[in-house]
Formats: sequence, structure tokens, C-alpha cells
Amino acid sequence: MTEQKMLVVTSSPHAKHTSTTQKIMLDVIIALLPALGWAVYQFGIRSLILTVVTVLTCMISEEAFCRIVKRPSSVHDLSCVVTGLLLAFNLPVTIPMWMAILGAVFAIVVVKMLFGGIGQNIVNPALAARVFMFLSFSAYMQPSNNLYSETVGKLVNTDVVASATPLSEAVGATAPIDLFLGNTNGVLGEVSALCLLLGGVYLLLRRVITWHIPVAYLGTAALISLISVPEGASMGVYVATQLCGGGMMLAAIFMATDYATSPVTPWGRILFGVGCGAITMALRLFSVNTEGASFAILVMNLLVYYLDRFTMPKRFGTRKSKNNA
Amino acid sequence: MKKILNQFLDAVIGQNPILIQLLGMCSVLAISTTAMNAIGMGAAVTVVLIFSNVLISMLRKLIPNEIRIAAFIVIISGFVTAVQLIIKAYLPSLDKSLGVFIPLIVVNCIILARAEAFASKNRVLPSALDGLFMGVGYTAALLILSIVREFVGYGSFFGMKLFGNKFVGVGMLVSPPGAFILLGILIAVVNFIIIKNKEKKKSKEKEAKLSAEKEKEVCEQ
Amino acid sequence: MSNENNMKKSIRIVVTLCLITALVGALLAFVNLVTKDRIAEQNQKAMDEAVAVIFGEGTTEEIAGDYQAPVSKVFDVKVAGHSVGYCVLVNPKGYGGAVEMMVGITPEGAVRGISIVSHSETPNLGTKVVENTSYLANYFGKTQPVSYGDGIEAVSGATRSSNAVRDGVNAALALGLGKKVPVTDQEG
Repeated sequence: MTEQKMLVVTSSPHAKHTSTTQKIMLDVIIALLPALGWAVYQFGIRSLILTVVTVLTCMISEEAFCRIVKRPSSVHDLSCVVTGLLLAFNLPVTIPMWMAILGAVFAIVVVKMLFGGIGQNIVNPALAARVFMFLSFSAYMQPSNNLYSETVGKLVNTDVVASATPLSEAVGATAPIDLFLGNTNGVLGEVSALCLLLGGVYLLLRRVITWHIPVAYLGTAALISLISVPEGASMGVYVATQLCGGGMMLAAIFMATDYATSPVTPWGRILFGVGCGAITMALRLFSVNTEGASFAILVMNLLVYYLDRFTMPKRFGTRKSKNNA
Repeated sequence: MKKILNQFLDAVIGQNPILIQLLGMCSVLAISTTAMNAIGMGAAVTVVLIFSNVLISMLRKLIPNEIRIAAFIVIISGFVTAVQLIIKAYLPSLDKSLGVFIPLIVVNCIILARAEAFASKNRVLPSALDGLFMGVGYTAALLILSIVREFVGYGSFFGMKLFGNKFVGVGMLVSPPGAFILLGILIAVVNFIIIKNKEKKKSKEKEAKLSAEKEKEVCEQ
Repeated sequence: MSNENNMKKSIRIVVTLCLITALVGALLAFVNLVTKDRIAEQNQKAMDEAVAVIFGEGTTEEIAGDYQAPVSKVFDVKVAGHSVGYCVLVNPKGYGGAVEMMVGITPEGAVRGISIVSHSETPNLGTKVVENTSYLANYFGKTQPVSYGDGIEAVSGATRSSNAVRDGVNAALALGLGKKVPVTDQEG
């Protein structure tokens, strides 16, 4: 191969041997397992089938793409498994299978592989696929009010006539402790803040992720919800609901920390987290869409290059030149 | 005859206004939702292209260089408005679905680009043909994109429902962002094919050259 | 010398541009002449069709006036010379732009029917509102501007489209047609 002779300059991650990527991804998968277990307990066996389907679709489409364009297969690094898991975590249990498959193909082929495969994608594949599906099948992407999957067929065919309920108005409907434990409704992976936190702690201990992004993300969100407590609501309940409700935890711990699409410098990471938290809260407070976390992270993904550039540490012994701002 | 054929192939494939020159993308993203829209828009653009090319070519020696762009724009917008009035009068449903994008043909870069690059330098007949061929190229690319979008978005082909009323379309591909992604993929595929073809040609030429050189060597020996 | 040349050049530029503009203007005048009547006819036809959906039959007579957006036109609908109600053309803002719709009002000032003239709402979402006749029928019979809760809700996933219909109907009802003398002042 002539390519190996050249010095290849790319964005992060730098020069990672595949076995390391594989190990990291395995750790992420392990960290996601508690939340998956809870999803199966809460939503029934269909959630497990759904997860298996998206994971398999992601693996197959990555393998197929690699073969078609004659690139070395990259399935064994397990990153496509993580994408599949995260995508499933962002879907309601009632979603028709073919939509989930389409979303998984979109995530891998359009968002990841067309941009050059692992490490080259500019936005998080699972999130981009979620937004793609949200814009395409928004009626099917709403978690239904029925917790279990017996009524799948019926639910998706009736036009539910109800007004949109932004998270900011839903405060008090579910007690914060239920939101924390996961005794609530939502998409597969977001319901139990406890399970997600367990996974997050595991990732921190294994040094797969650093504290910067999750802490900055959740901290900013908590701060903004502190200022925006509506009249008559208890401050503690409101803030806890904002943090534990919706996809905030899942986003802060697993989505925003994706290697390829988050900054590499510590200050870059903190700014990234602050931006994610601020945009998420802005969307929750002022937009008609119920969940802003995915849009927030996608927007910040696009800014990663600049965050990295502006927070790059000075090389020892050099001065920042004026035109290198 | 061969010259015309070459001009045709060059306009439709080699220099396709959408897929290769990437001109006039705004309306492409917005109106390529159904195949009928694509044909209507393509026809409107083609007509404007032909007439403006002809008139500009006729006047090319008369128009002073300093005001050529102004003159082109006046001519183009005149024809666009005429086309708009005619569509409003005889095809009201097309007018409704294309909406503001008919008047916006005025600022569609394809037309000004052809006026500047071709019609102002060539005689009337070639300019007319250039307008026609460029229009066909534009329509062809638009049609491909909109057939795909109509199929995945509405489950229909030229307005015929293929899957009955239960069909759930991929809504995002009906919206302009979806069109943007699809158009990107389409351009990538077309470029891939073109590059592959060129490589084939090159390697063939190389082989021919090599064998010719070998023959030469053999002869010399 | 050079001044004279410049002068000549300027004159040539001005004359050519004027000539071209005149030529194009003449062309447009001609096309306009040919298509003018037909366009008016088509516009009238579109209005008539929307009115026919609501009232079945009747001719429309525009009531001139200065209306505030989203109301654009008000018609008096007449059958054999007698007024059978009003039609209000409104274009409230939906998700994909203005939703142009005709709201029929009975002589008593109640909503008689709604017909959507044109819209660009999202298929499978916004269309669940604007192409759903049974949903639109929820507004029939209302005499006062409505808000969600009194029997009408926004369709989930299509809040903006639902709001457009609500705003349109409310704007039409706010004119107070039928309840008193129509908005046009007949003073002196």
C-alpha cells in the first residue's frame, strides 16, 4: 500500500490501534448494559428485540459498505455495535421495525461511512439517525402512553389527538424519584437516570471518558433550570426533573462524549458541555419539540473543530503569533 | 451532426448544470418533491434558457461590454415573467406547486452562466441548441432526484400511488435538508462513474501506448 | 478627444439598455395582454371551488375593506341575489409557510365550513390537520374565537399546523361577520 508511506494528518482519535478501539468500545457496551436491562424490564421483550435488530443492522451495513467500496472491514472495532445500541436507546419501544432498520442504515452508511468511517464522521451517527427519524416519522417517534408493547399494532395506527406537552410543563406529573429510578415512560435508554449514572461511573473509572463533558453539560443545564424555575414550583423538584427527565442523562454521559465528535482539549470539552447544556435547555424552554438534547449535541458536534482550535494549549517555549488567533 | 451530438452529450453529462457545475441548487432542493414538479420546472427553465440564449446571441454585437450583465438580466427576467404569466394562465396547478420558484428562475445561475459563457460568444443556432441541451441536462438531473424523493416520500411514481394509503413516507427526504443529502449522494455516484470511466480510458490509452512502444522497439531491433 | 469618445460610449450604453428594456417591455405587455383574462378567470375559479365546498352553490361578491393579516379577502356569498353567508380568505402561518384557507360563516356568524385552498405542510404530519376534514369539522358551528381545550385540541406532532387552522378560524370569527352590519362602513 502506498498510503502507509505518507504521513496522514487527521482529526482525533490519533493513531489508535484497532485493538484499543475495540477495548474502549467494549467498555462502552458494558456501561450501556444496566440501562438496557432496565429497558427490557420496563418495556418488555420487544425492547431487546429492537436493540438486537438495530445492532445487527449497523454491523451488516458497515460490513456491506466496506465490501462495496473495497475498504478493510472495520466491524471488529465494535464501534458500530455502540452506534446500534445508542440508536435503539433513542427509540420508543413501539417503533415499527423497518423504521429502526432504516435509521440504523442511515446512521452507518450516510453519517459514518460516507464521511470516511470511524473517527472521520463529523456528527454522532446515532444522534443524526435519531433526528433523521424524528423528522421523518415524528408521530412514531413519540413514546406512547402505554408502557408495554402488547398494543404496538394499535397504538401506531391511531391518530392520537393531544396537545404537545413540553418537558417544562410536565413537571410534577412524575415524581423526580421515579424519573431517577426509571419508573417512567420514554425512549428505551433514557428512562433510568440511575442505570445511566452507573454506566457513567464505570466509564469514568475505566478512564474511557473524562469528567469534563458530562459535568459541564449537566451543570449548565442545572444552572439554567435554577434561573427558570416557574412560579409555584418547588426549586428542587423542578431542577431534578429537568436533569433526570428526558434524554439529558443519556445525552450527557454517552452521546456527548463520543470520541470522534467531541473536542480533545480539556477546555474544549468544558465549552462543548456548556454549549450542549445551554442549547438543550433553550430548546426545552422555548421550542415545541419535547427533547432538545439531540439537536443540541448535533449543533455542538459541528463546532468541535473550532473548539479544539481555540483551546489548543500553547507549545512549550512558543508564543502565540498574532495572526494565528 | 456529430458535433451536435457531442455538444449534447457534453451539456447533459459532461457539464450537467446540476450534477457537475452545481448551478441553481436552491430551486432544485425546494421543488424536486414530485416528478411532475420536476418536469414543469425543467420545462420552464429550458424555455427561458432557449429564448434568452437566442435573444442574447442575436444582440451580442450590439450590447456594450460594460453593461452586458444588466442587459442579460433584463432579458432573462423578461422571459421568466412571460413564462410565469403563461403558467398562471394555463397550468394553475403547476403554478401552485412551484410557487415562488418560477419568478426565482431569474436568479438561477444556470441561465446567466450560459448567457455569459456561451450565448454572448456564439451564433444564434448553436446558442439555441446550447439552451436546449443545458435545459435537458437540468431537467434530467432534477427528474432523477425527484423520482427518488417522490418514491420514498410519498410512495408514488408520477402521482400514481404504488402502495395504497397505508404507506408511511420518509418525511425528511421530502423536506429540503433531505434533498440536500440525496443530492450529495447523487453527485457522488455520478462523479464516481465519471472518474471510473476516465480511469478506464486512461489505462486503455496507456496500454495502447505501451504496446505501440513495444512494437516500435521490436521493429527497431 | 477622449472626452468626446467617452461621451459617445455613454450614449451608446444608455441607448442600448433602453432599447433592450423597451423590447422586453413590449414582449411582456403582449404576453400580459394575452393571459390577463385567463389568469383572472383561473383565480376566480379557485375561489369559487373553495366556496362551493362550503356553500354548495352561489356567487361571490368581494367586500372591500382594510383587513388585518391573516385575513386577506372577505366575500359575500349570494344565491339568487340573497346573501346566504360570508367567506373569509385567510392565510395564517403554518409549519411550511402560509396555509391559505377559506372560512365559511353563516349569516348568524357561526363557522359553516373550512376549505383549504393551498398549503405546504409536511406530508403525514401537517396533512393530518389540513387534509383531515373530520378534524376541521370540529370548528363548525363555533361563533366565538376558540382556544384549545373547549372541544378542540391540536393534533399531536402537528401543533404548528393545528395552530394555523385555529388562528385562521379565529381571525375570520373576529371580524364579527353576520352578527352586526358587515365591517364595511356605509357612512355618508
